Amino acid sequence: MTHLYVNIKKKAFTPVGLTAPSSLFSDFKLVFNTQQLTCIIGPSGCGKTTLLNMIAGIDKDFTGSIRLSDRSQSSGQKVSYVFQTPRLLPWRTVLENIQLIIGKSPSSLLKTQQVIQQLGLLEQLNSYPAHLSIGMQRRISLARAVISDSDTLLMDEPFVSLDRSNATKARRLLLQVLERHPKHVIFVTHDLDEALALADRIIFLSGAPCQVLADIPISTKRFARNTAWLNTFKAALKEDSPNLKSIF
Amino acid sequence: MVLNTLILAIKSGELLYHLGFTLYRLCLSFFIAMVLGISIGLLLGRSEKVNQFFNSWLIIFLNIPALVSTILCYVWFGLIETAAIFAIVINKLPNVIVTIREGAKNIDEELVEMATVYQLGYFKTLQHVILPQLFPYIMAAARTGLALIWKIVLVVELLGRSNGMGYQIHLFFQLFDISSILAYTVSFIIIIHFIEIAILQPLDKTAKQWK
Repeated sequence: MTHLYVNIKKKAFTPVGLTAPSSLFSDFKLVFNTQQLTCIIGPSGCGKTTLLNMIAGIDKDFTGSIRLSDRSQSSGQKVSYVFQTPRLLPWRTVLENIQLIIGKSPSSLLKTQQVIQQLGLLEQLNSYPAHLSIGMQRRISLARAVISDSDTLLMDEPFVSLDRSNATKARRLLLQVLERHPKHVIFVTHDLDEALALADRIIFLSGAPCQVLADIPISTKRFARNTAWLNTFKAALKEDSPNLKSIF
Repeated sequence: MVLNTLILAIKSGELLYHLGFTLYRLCLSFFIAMVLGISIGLLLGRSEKVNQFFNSWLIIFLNIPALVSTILCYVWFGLIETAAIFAIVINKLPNVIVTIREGAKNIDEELVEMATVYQLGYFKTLQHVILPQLFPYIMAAARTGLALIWKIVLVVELLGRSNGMGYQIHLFFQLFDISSILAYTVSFIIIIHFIEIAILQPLDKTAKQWK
């Protein structure tokens, strides 16, 4: 069992127009367990994306450490990331964008085709991203992240701007991939219903400086989470954690 | 008359001989200046500290007259081929650096972050993420640089070489042979158009495929 330890002693940032840096995280600790899909919900600007960037190793401007339990350094972990924007290379085709990360072997081509087909984009495999809609680009970005072989999958509101049926397809794909290759998934969302449908655990964050308001494990199997369950769960949540009222 | 002179000069092989030398110097110095310029420009554009350190040097080199640097090169290194090539490179390099630096400052950080997250490594990032974004700037540097080099290579040849177009034009100047000067200029124009149509435009086209 590997755990992902996040321990941020201090992370400051200077908002545009202000000279004094304000504190975004201080003494912020979280442990992510293997094979869990953790959803993170919090108000806009509380630092959810910053947190993902720090875990991804893009944002190194903080004191503290982020590491996997079986590795001594954070640089040892392999991360894939579904960014808020698709971030595909516009001068490479869909297939080239994915092959750049997973290589050109026949087995990886097969894997790519399977995943892309599942997302209904097989015809677009040789198109350039500029010729696709933003929703399609998002799905390609999702495909790139799930195909790449990683220890941790970071997702920053991956399903916004997808229509309902495509979002359902994307969710199904995500769960299937996780069944075959369990990994840490950290999933940032604004949508409580989405979080309740997917998560093994939901973490609610407060506004800056960022603190954990509530940390709620969900043990009900995903297929058993119907509308009735959803309503009872939300009602219970409202009652047990009055500090979460901003979410509802 | 000019056409006649041109044909005569081609037939005698004299024009081709001197044009060959000029083209050789042009290609070599162009290549060196582009490779060095892209590397240095990329470095300056990506690192603010390095940029601040070298910025004033860059401005100095950008503004030194071609004549001064050429004469200095000949005085310091002697009237040799290396000095000639070096002088041309010195004159073109700052322009390339400035253009590429602007390009490097405008690189999409989001895509670089993507490359970092997926651990693409230095060379893959350069090849697939950085260079495609720099391409328009590289083309601009190549076009303006080529125009500049033509002008400088002739001065360099005029001052210190015993072959090449610059040397020949100097000779014609002493003889007041206007038609020969014009004939050589026409051969120039033909070559420039050839480079534009056969090399630069197809490169532009392939690079714009994805748009």
